[in-house]
Amino acid sequence: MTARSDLDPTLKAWFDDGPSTMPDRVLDVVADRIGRQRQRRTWRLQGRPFMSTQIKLIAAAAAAVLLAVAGWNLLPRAGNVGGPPTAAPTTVPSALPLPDGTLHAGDYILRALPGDPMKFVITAPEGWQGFGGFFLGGTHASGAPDGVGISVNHDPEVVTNPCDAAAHTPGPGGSAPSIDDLVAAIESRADLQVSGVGEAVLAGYTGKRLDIQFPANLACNNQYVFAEPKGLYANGPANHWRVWLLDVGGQTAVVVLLDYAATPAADRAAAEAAIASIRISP
Amino acid sequence: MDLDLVEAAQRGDQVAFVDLVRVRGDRLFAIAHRILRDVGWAEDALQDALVIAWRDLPSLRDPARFDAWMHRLLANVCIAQAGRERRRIANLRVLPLDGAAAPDDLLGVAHRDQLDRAFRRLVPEERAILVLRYFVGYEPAELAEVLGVPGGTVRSRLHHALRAMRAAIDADARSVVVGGTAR
Repeated sequence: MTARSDLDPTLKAWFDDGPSTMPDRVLDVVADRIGRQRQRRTWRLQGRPFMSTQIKLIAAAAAAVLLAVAGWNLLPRAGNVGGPPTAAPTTVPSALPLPDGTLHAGDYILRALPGDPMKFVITAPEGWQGFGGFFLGGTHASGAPDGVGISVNHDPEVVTNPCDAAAHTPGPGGSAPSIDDLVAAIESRADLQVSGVGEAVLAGYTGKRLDIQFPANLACNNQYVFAEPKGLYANGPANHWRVWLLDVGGQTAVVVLLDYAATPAADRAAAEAAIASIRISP
Repeated sequence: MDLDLVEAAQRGDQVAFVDLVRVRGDRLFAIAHRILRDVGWAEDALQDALVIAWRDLPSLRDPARFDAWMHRLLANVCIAQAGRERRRIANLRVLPLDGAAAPDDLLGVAHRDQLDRAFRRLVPEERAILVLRYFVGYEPAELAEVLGVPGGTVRSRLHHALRAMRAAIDADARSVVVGGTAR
C-alpha cells in the first residue's frame, strides 16, 4: 500500500474522538492485582555473564566429562535418547534446589513450579545459569542467536493461541491431556514447524520426542507452547526446541532443550550431556 | 520516557509501576477503547494487559522500548478480548457508542455510526493495526517492529483492513438504502 488512502483523514478524525481518560478504578484494580502477582523472572536469559579463563577451563573439562559418560548415547539415535527402554527408572539422589544465578557444576533439582511434586535432577555444567527453579541456561544464556538452555515441565497444556498463554485445549473431561493429545495439539499449531515425532526414552521413562522450529518472526513477544502457570515460550526468533514428553507413572514429564542454528556445537553437546544426566522423581 | 520508572518496575518496585501506569494510563486506555469500542471491555483489557506487563516486565530487554512493548502487549490482549466478545455476541449486536461525540463539522453523526458499524465488522487484528497506525501514529516500518512481523505483512494487513473498512462502509450504505436500518 503505497498510495495514501482517502480514508486516512476520516479515520484519524474518528479515532481522535472518544474517551481518553483512564478511569481511576483501573489504577486501583491494577495496584491491587500486582500486589498479588509475582513478577516472572525471565527464563529468556540475555546476558553473557563474565567468565574467567579458569572458569571456562573448568566448564570445558566438566562438559568433556559429561560428554564422555553420556555423549555416545545421544548422537546417532534419532527419536531416542539414552539407549533402549529400561525396566526401572533411575532413582533421584540428593541434590540442591536450583538457585538463580551462575552455577558450579553439580546436581540440581528443577521443578515446573515451586512446590511441584515432580523433581528433575540434572547435572549442570560449570558456569551455566539457573533461573526460576525450572530453567538452566548455558554460559552464553538462552537468547538468540546462539544461546542454549534446558527447561522442564509437568502435566502441561498446549496453548491454542500462541500469544494468549491462558488459551488452551483441556484434556477429555477436564483431565490432564495425554502425551498423544499434547503431541497432536503441538502439531496442530500453524505457527510451529514440527518434525521428528517419534518414540523416545529418557531417564528410563518412555514417551515421545519431537522437534519444534519457531519462525524467524515470532507471532508475539512471548510465543507460547505450554500454557500458564507453567508457561514456556520461544526464547528468541528462530528458536529450536527438542521436546521430550515422558510418561512418569501416568503423569507427563516434559524436558525441553532449546537452541538455535548458530548455537556453538560445544554448548549444544553440553546441553545434550546434561539432558542425558536427568533423573526424574514423580 | 520514564526510564527510571521502567527500570525500577523491572526490579520489582510496585510503586514505580503504578506511577508508570499513572503516566501512561490515559493513552493506553484510549488505545484499548479505540480497538474494542466499549468502555467496559477497554477497562478489562487494560487491566489484564497491565498485570501481564507487570509480570513479564523483567523480560523486557531494552527499557527504552517500553512503549512499543506495551502497545504490542495491549493490542494482543485487545485482540483476544475482541475475539471472545465477537463469539459471545455472534457479531450481531451493535453496541451503543461510548464517549463524547465528535464535532459535527468534522464527522456527521450518521457518518460516525457508519464508521463504527464498519469497524466492528473488521476482525480484531485489523482493528488493532488501524488503531496503531491512525490513532497512535506508527508508520508502517515502525508497526512492523512493534508487532514483530515483516514490513510486507504490515502493509498487506493495512491494505486489507482499509479495503475491508471501505467495503463495509459501502455495504452499510447499501443496506440502509435497500433494507432500512442496519443491524
